[in-house]
Amino acid sequence: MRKVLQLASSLALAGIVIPPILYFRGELAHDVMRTVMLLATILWFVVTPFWMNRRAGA
Amino acid sequence: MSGAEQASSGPGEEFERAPVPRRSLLGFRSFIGMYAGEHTAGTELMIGPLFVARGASAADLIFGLLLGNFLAVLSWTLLTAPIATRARLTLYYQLERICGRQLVTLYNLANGVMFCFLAGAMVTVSATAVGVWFDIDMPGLNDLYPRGLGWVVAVLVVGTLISIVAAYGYQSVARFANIAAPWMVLVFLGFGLVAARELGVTSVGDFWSAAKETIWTGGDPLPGQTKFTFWHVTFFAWFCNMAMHIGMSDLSIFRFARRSWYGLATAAGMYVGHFMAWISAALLYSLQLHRDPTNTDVLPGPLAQSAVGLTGVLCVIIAGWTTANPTIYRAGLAFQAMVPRVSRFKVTLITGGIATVAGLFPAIAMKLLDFVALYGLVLMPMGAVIFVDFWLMDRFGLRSSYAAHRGLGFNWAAGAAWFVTLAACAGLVFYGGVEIFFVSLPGWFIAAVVYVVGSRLLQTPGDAVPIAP
Repeated sequence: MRKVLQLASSLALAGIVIPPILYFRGELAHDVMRTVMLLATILWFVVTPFWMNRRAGA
Repeated sequence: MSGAEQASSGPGEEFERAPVPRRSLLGFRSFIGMYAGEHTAGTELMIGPLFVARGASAADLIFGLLLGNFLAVLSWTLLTAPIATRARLTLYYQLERICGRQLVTLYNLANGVMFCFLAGAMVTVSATAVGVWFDIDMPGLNDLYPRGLGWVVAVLVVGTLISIVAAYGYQSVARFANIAAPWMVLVFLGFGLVAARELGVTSVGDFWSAAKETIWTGGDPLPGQTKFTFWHVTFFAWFCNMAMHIGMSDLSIFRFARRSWYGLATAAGMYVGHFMAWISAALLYSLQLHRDPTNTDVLPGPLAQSAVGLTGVLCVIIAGWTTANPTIYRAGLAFQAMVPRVSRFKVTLITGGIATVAGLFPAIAMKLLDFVALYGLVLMPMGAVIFVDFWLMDRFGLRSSYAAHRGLGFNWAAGAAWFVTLAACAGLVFYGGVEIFFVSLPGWFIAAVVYVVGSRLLQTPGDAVPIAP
């Protein structure tokens, strides 16, 4: 379960950093970038507290 | 969460009045995460734009930040960490042994007041994000006082919430700050990428020409601001955490390090927070000026919103909140040491109230560069005292940790080093024409010399440690 949560958090971080890179390269619209970043933010804060700062197996 | 508290939370022991034992030491990676998180904070959203407002050129800014941050890392590695990993004591206990309890109490007062104002600036930053949703007359770059009732209400609401949370649930917010840190670093990167694109940068290769011609043109500063050169940027980057490295606050953190070279971990904080994040925030402000040269307001909320929307606004709120929270808590601890009978809850709440009142006045946030330099300057002389006491007293035939040796409440040699240095630095600023950003360097040497001379006058021959034959 912990690995799944960590994978989801990694995806969330990717959702924060990749859209601005694509926007910078002219490959993504501004509105789409904003929406993806917001969804990634929600995913990060929903998922990450369940594994970060907690001992494995706890 | 402050590094000290984070570092000491593992084994559940604080070691406030004893050296950290070997079993509680931490590895290099602990310090990298700690510094990268702590130095990407709400303050960065103000500092980056203020470089632009002060007319720093691209070369001055980039190379000044590279050099200044390098000097800061060296200061932690060569000044702070070697003492921390040998003595393994908190700053406060080490100071108490040198200065005596009464002088440390005075130091706590100065520290607490500075923390209050810093937290006030962060309340200001968070309130600018609230202003995005309401039609509030927000402060301008050169405003000293609040403009209207809307701003007052916004600051009071934000400051009260932050204060209550700091008093009730400090640990929860500290955990939240840890969780937010990686996200916040990447949102800052996003600010920079989006703003760069909007400023016409379409590839990494374009950046330097755009930086020189559009972003940091190096012209006159904005009205009401003083000009920043390469040396201003360098010294600001070097000394903006002066209280922590040269001032030795981070003895409390590096006492947990296995080796003194772990001080190099501070590079994570400097080059992520004080390089990337400052540049990203500066790009946001440049974009605003590019779109409307008459709009010189440094308002992190609207700046972030224009770049990445609601994510940016959340970043400003969380960055301000997670910086203000531990700052209010630390200020509360500093004050509580002076009035130990009053509960930590009440002291923290009152401290938060003072920070909130300070946050009403935009002058602190808008003059953050000067305030941060003052903060470092005020606490720096005690760092010089600790350095001299640890490394040089035996060589001069003097007794180190003199207050502990004699049972003094107030070591006048250390007190004189502090007061004379501050008076000399104030003289240099007000009468010598030296800007506050540069005055701490000569100040360190003044403090060191005054402490040695004062100790020579104060101590008697019998105090010296006998030299082994």
